[in-house]
Amino acid sequence: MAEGVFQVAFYLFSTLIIGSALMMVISRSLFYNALFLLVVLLGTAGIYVLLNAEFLAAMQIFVYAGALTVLLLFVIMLTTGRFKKEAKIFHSQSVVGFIVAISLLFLSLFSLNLTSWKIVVGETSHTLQNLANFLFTQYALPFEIASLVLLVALIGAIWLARREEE
Amino acid sequence: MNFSFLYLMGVAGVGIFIFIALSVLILVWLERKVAGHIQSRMGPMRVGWHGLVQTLADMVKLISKESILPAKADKWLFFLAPFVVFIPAYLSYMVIPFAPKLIIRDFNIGLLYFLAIPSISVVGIIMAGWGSNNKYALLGGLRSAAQIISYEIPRALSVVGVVMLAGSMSTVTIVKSQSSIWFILLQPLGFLIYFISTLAEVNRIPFDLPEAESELVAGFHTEYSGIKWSIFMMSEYANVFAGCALCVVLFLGGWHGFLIPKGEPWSSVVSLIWFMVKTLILIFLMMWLRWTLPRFRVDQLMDLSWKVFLPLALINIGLTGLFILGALKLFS
Repeated sequence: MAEGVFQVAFYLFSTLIIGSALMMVISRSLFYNALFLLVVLLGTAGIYVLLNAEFLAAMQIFVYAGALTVLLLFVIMLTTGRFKKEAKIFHSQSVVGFIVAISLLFLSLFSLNLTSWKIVVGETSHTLQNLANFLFTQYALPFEIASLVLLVALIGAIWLARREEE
Repeated sequence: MNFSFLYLMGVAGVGIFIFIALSVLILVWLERKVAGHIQSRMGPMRVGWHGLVQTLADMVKLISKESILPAKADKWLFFLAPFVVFIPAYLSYMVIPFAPKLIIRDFNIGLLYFLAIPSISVVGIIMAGWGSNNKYALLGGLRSAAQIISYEIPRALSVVGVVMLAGSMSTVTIVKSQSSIWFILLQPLGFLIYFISTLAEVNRIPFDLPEAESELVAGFHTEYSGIKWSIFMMSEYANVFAGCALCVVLFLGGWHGFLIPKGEPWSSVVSLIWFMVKTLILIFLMMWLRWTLPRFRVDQLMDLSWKVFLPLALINIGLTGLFILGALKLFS
């Protein structure tokens, strides 16, 4: 029974993700593109929940759906004058974009096939604690480097946005 | 898992909806009464005892009113926006523990869920501002987005101290760990930052810049009328209640209180009454502030969040860490 509910939920979320990803590309208003991106991100959060990764799902909603999409919409609203005319789907970059997309698809399929997926059986209820332990012991260095990269990006953005002083 | 689970969730969903509708009816009445008495008038008096069913009468009026669609508005965005604002407010009730065992789902990460879900409603506000095709609505939507994003950060950081003390993000565990001492005594700074950031998150005076009527008519819901407007109002009051309820869960001991009989069948009813009384006191405090203080300016609002609350919240986390280390040293 549980399997059945799980599968129905999985297919519902997958259809939602693929459908809105398609709409995101096809839709010709930038505002709608951003909104469909939000639906894609929320659907992915749903898949995370199905995989028992609640923390990841909450972070997905917090960071991507909450902050990132709002920031995108914010930019679109502030620069509304520039995007008055509708976006075109096909233009001079279509061919290059197509090649990049196809090679990315094959690359990810390839790496998915090559990776041997270990199936972990056992205690998974304390995912948050496990994650914290790994982040601050075994993977402390990559974690710090990632924070440093984010900090550099932050300072760079502020530097670019700052007004020139007289 | 079987279908009785889905059935139970359905019952819980309808239950939350009825609870939100009832509490909004009462809160709107309470707000008008508080406003009236603060300004030396009576407030609503005509319909029912001291105007108690005035909101019900207003509701009937709002439902029967024409729902106007502006000529150049984006039909889909305009129609969907109120629901995108309301649904996250509604979903956040899932993790509020009203009394022992009276909670829909006790998530492992309940607190994080509660903080994450409302960020979707910002998108609804932006949709309303953009979809109305009105410059005041657009400006209101922009302001709201900026404000909610800014205050989300100190709000999330202010509860880290509580999570450190309780050692869990489950709302039930947080309440249970306050059985001897309420966290407001250990985390006064966290409480202050959380409460004021919540005021800003729910767009109430002194932080109601997104709908500042002297500058923006009514902000993002300028063009809305009838039932769609009332959905916006309903989500505002639903958010006020949820924000105050979580404040009670985090800092004021949740359902704990004195005079609660042990093991009796009515003991959880007494706990529920404690929880509701504490929440109502906080809501009254919010209303009191609303009718007393003037509105902030946009730059003051942003300064307060980024230059005052964010450093204070970080200091609070450091102090809590030192406190826990000290306590461990002392008692081991």
